[in-house]
Amino acid sequence: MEKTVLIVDDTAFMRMTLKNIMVNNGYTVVGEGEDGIQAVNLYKKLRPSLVTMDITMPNMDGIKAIKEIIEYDDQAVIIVVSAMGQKALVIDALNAGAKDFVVKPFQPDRIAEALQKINN
Amino acid sequence: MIINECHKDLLAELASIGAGNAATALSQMLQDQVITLQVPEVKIAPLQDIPASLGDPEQEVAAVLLEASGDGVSLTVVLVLSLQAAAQLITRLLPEDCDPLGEMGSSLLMELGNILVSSYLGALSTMTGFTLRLTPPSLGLDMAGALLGSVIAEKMMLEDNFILIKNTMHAFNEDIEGSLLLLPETGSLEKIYRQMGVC
Repeated sequence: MEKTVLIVDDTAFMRMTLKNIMVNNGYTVVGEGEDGIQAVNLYKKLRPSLVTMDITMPNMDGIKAIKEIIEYDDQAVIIVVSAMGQKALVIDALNAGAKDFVVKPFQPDRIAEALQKINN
Repeated sequence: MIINECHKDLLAELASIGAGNAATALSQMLQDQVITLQVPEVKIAPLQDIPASLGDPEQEVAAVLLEASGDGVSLTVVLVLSLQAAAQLITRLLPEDCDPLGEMGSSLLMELGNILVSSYLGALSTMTGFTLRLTPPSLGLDMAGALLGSVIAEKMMLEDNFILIKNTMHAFNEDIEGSLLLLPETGSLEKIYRQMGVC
């Protein structure tokens, strides 16, 4: 089955970086979102097998977007990729339903490790 | 509030840990390039001095502004890079097929601001136990005086003083200079100091 990913981050540079890593790991990037609202709408439309989610974004932050996506589909697989590595925020994200939390900046191997973890 | 020697010591420690975290983050972004760090210079000055705080107010700079808040603390944080430092980082970090002066160059600077400011806030969060959330970054390219003057013009509830942390990092046989300005809202510094047992 094709592995598809929706990449959500407010900066184009980070979306490009993640896109390259995802493609190198066998994923097809089916959509890109710039904020939490786009993330929720695109998830419902595209139903990707994976979402990468930033936290700090305009209009709706990543934690709220995770909650809305999980409410819509409790099987959604979401990995947070954020510079905000503070413990309380990591716990918030995991409690909201994220499967892993990658702190920016990251090496491509760290993303590959997260992908391996969710695929197992 | 009146800033005493204990407060200055605490800010110096925060600057030191924050700069260490930021250098580690930058090193990771630069494929583990070794980055050495000078001891950050910390200065506390009245708000009205901000436009000239970085030297020549007419110097062109790139500034990334973010707002941090949480647990009763609010700060405006501005990362300021000379255009030379911004260009050094863009050249090193952006893939060759991207236009450094285009959208991707601006986007990279905002992401860099987000990551480096988060490094400092991570230090502050660890030291205080406070959880601070950031707004998305915004980028300005202008003369230092005009840019920084406009930041304080828009703020109503700031402390009388701001904190300037000047950093010099060394990588690729070049110095990369950047400054971080912290503009706490009224009462925020006192809350941080009280939390850390420094009065």
